[in-house]
Amino acid sequence: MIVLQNVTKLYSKDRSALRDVTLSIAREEFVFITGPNGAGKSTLLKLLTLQERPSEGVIVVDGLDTGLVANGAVPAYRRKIGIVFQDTRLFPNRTVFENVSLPLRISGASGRKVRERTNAVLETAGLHDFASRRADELSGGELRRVAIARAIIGSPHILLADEPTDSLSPQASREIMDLLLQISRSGVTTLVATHDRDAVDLLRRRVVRLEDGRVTADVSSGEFDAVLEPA
Amino acid sequence: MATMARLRTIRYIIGAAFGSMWRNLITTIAAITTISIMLIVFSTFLAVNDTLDRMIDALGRRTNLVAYIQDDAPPSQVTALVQAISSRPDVAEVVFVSRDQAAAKFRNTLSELAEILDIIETNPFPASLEVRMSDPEGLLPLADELRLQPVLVEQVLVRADVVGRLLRVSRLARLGGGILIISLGAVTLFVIFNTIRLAVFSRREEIEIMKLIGATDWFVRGPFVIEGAVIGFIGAGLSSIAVIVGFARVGPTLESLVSFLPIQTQAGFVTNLALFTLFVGVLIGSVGSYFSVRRYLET
Repeated sequence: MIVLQNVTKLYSKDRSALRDVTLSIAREEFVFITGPNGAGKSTLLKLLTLQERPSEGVIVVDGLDTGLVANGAVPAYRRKIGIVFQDTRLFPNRTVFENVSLPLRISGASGRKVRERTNAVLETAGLHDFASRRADELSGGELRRVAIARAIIGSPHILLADEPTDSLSPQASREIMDLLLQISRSGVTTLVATHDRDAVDLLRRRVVRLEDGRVTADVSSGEFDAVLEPA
Repeated sequence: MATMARLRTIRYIIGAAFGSMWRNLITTIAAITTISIMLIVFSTFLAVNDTLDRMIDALGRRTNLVAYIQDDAPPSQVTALVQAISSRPDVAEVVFVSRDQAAAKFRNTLSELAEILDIIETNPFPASLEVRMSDPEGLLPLADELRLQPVLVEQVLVRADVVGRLLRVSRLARLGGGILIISLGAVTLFVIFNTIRLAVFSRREEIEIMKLIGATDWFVRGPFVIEGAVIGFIGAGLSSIAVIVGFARVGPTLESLVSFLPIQTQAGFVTNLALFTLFVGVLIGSVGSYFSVRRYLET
């Protein structure tokens, strides 16, 4: 479960990225965070991954007040969350297997566990045939899949995805959203920051709309048309 | 279980260091070459400075002080004086030359004037102490001390102008050498450190990604520190090989060409220089990497 209570993030005195945001996301829920560029979507995800700290307010993730997470404990905190970055943040000169298995290497998993778990996740992400390919040989859609596979390899309870369909073809976007939905259905709380209306239309899940750092709408499926940007 | 995980992590970090060196081969080769060239220049300069230092010492050792002993000086006190001078740390050798030995020396070295001694029928030469210094700095103070003992010492002869000049040259050379070593050492450190910083800078995104997916500072830093140490070791190793081969090839020729120069070509000196270079290479490589990575860890 994720709770944000009166969260404000100021980058300077005159520049706020989030203003007094209060939000509650239930366990295993799938939520889209939408809004125009600069609305605060990425900042919200950065606060949840502790890349940034809130200027005001409280953020609770899985029962843990993130304000109490000391800098030294941030790596362990991040290992419990799956993150898909907008620009994938993969190692271009490493293989898909190496990229996906990295979080397991970081946590000191045995070679056997790394092989078994990585192969299973690659299968889930439809990347089994790509294991030995270098990341810089892959297409945009394949790279997103690799990024998602890396995000879920540590079996996180929470998955955060920042613009996972950005610059992808409609077909590739649909495949990525299907994959995220499939992961969500396995019991993972999923937050997807996007301005891809087609993707939101397709999945018809809860939508939180941010504008100018504020929550301007928070609606569940069935009534989300009102909060979307014009197509 | 935690220990096993830690061991696996250490194994991974070591593997990652070598893997990364291979993946970034051009940067690795550039860093090794830079470190190697800088350390060759630095160790060659150390060797030149050492030769200069030894040359000054050798010149200093050739400078003697002669103290002429009073004819009526009690032998026991002269013996005590010889012992006192010999026990000084800056004195290499004291030779007592008796009056007869002085006359004999005169006859030997100036044989065409030897008959003068036969004409005057007495021995005009006083006994003397010939003092050879190990440190020329102590020469003038010793002369002053001996002049304060007129009962024993009749006259003290020191080529004050030569000694003074030698001391000035020696001090200047040592000061200049010291400044140059520090400057060149600083330049070497600066260049190597910046080479490593550039190598780390080109991979700053890698560091950021590792941090974002939950790597601890040591997991991120470990491969870089090992890589820096290995690159430093290889760079310094190549420099050591160049220095050893250089000494083996050029040393004997130099020795025969300028035999008056105390050029160090013994295995001990070259080995020490090579070991020192290796130590410097590994130290700068690892410490440089440690600090270069630190600035990118705050993600």
